[in-house]
Amino acid sequence: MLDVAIHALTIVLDPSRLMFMFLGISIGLVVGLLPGLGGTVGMSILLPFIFGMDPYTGMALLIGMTAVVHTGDTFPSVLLGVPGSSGSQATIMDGYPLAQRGEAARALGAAFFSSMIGGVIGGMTLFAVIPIARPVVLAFGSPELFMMSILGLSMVGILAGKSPIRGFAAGMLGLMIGSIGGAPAVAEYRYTFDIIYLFNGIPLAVVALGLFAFPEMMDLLAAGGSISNAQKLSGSWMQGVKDALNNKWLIFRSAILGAIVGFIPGLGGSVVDWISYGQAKQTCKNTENFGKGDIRGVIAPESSNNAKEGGALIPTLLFGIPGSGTTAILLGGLSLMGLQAGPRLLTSELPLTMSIIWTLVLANIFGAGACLLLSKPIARLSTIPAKKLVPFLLVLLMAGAYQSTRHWGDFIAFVAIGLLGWAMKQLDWPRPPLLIGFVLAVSAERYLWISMSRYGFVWLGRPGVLAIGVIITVLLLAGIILKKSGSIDTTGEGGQA
Amino acid sequence: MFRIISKLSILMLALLLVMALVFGCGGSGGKEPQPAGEEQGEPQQEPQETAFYEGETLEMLVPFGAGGGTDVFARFVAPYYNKHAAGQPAVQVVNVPGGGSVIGANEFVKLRKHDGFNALVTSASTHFPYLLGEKEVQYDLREMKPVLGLPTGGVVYVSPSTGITGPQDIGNAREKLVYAGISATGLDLVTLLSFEVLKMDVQAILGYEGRGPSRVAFEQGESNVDYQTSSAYLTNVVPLVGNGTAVPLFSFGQLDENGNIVRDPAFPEIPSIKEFYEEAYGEEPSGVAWDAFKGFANAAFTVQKIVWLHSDAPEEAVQALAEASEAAVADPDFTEKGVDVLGGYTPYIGKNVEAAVNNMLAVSEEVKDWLRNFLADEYGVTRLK
Repeated sequence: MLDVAIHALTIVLDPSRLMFMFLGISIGLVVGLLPGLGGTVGMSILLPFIFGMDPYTGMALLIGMTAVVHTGDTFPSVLLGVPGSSGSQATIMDGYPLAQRGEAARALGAAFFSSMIGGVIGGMTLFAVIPIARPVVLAFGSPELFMMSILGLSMVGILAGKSPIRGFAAGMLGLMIGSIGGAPAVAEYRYTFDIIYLFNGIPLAVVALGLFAFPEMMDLLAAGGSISNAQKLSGSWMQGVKDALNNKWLIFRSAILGAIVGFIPGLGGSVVDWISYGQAKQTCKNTENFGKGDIRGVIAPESSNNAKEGGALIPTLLFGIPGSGTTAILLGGLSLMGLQAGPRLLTSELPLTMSIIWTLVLANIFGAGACLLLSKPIARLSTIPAKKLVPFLLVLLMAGAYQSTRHWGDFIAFVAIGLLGWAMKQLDWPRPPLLIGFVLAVSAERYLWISMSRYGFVWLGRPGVLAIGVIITVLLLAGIILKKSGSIDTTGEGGQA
Repeated sequence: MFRIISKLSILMLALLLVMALVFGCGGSGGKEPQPAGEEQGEPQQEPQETAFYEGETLEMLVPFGAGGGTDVFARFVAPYYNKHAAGQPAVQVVNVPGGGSVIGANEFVKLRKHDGFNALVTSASTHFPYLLGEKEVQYDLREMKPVLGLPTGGVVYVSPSTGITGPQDIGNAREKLVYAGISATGLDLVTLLSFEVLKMDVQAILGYEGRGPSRVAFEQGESNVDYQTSSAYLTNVVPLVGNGTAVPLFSFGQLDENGNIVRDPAFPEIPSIKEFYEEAYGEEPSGVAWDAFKGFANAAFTVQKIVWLHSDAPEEAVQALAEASEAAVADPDFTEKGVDVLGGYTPYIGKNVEAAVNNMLAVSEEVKDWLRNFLADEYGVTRLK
């Protein structure tokens, strides 16, 4: 397998293919940069050009794009408090406060470096898992997938912040909004009131942008001034990189987590960053500043959401099961190039699979490098007065929301969810639980339905189910245990911040 | 120094704004076709034979998201239309997903001009709601002219743990038969009807996300009977048959021009459902369940994907596109490059696609009533009644 890998590297480094990879990288960075657009938009843009390309070039283009969307989406998340793509919301929690303190460049530096390492680890995971992927994917039956959804939902508790009850209620509300549209199993429609726009449910981009971006814009306009409250921009990206290097272990375990969650089909890539943020919060020491500008709250999600691309490719390439909208379109691209996902990609087409891995790794490195260089100039965006910035941003946001289905419903839903988000912000209700509930509603119901129909209650005793159940319990309790042991220390040391 | 950097920032913002506009407008309704009046409304011009599509854009509306089977088919066909249609029109594929393809099809009839510059590409998921009479459907397939139809096939297979090796065993399986499907009103309907016709007692667990996950469910043992469409069967199930973990039973077959089920040419060694039934029960299948199966197998497999124009589009448009379809199918490059997209089947053109569509639309009211009751009683789908 190693000789195939080396051979694939020489193919990838061919100058004309490199050119396409750079083109893919540029498009991926711009798509990530523009709020609300995600990998699916980039894929849709590139798909028409794939027809007739040779597979190596086509993959260089497509994978080059996918690899860096989650690197570029950090810009709006940190600088504007607006999610760049659905995988980047958790970064806002600590990245935006850092920008408000004037430390945007530091946050960006840490984020890009973690993204790069995370993406490389994701690619390496793909490489390592390929020989054993088949049995691993097959080990995740519907009951296990349901437990993984519960793991995601348990993040609601961890991320609820001060008031668990509000967090829980927000999560329930999210589950309810997520159930709008067709039921997964039975041909029934819920909460659609005969409005055909709602038949497919409310698109994720609309909810994410409305919930997080809209309230920020409103508050910015009301407060005046600019995003950055400090007079000068302090910090540099070098400092951010140093911060990241100080937290090597965090980057590594977040990346592995990202790759694993990405690999589970049906969980949805947009939950990865929350799970990672939650795990960082539970397992790091001194987490009082999480949510107020702790650099580790940026490092963890950024590392995972790049790693998840590598993980998501495993079921996509091996089984033709897309883990996300982006990989679904990627499968279409494979068909247009005359390829089919499946066991062939590991046997006769192994060089192509290797080239995909190399492209993933190289694109992450180049993309992060480009972003690091651009970070200082783009960070100045946070010093622009809000009155000039917000109208422009609102147009971008509306365009991003409208991209979802290009119907009027997108605008209406965006404003409606936006008002809900704003109300929640004012009343100090946590918003991440709502988004998590929304994202996981369909998967959780689908897998629970299938598990119950197929196995009655017997599935509760399956080893995989029990193992994941233990992990959930450990994660939930870890916070309590660590806090208890931590509080003994801090009172002894006289309340170190 | 600051002046320069702030100018740079403004420049970058402007660039971003332009890009946003480009991205925002790029995929959305496509270009406006240049006024067709130039060719048709000039009485002074000598009656030159300018092709209908000369200098025009043909928009193919795909009521699904990018990357899906119908989208890939449309994008594959598009360059051949550009090559072979008289006038070499630019061909653009536009995605309008939503509502299980009902939204896009509705938009095609209600919002797109019936001027011959708009075509619709449908799939079984678009045909079924129409045939079943779902109330959101605002399109009428009788008001459309088909120019190209792509068939595909399906094969039903079981796990060896069921102990079923052939038609003689279907009544006494060693374990409960469990089928993993997506939706009772989707393509699974054909499979469920095939079980009904063969009087097989199968528990259908619906709600899987797609054919991929349901196939994985088979491999995991969550289900022990499954079907796959031809290309997925050949890529993913044939290896399983090879190592003894899957046993093919029957294919849905293909409908000939008289509406009879014949063996699927893509699977010459696998019996069609008709042959399978005859071997199991010693007589030909008949009855309303069988009619329902044939009607919906037609809509789902015999012509799974269809390219249509509005029936009140200009006659020259229909003519030009029908000829382009024939030329495309005859193009050796089309067959060679399309091995995966076409799945090895030859698309229907001309009279054949019209005949197939007529058969599809000829499902009787009696069959539809029976079907609505069947769906309500067996699968709890009550909204159709």
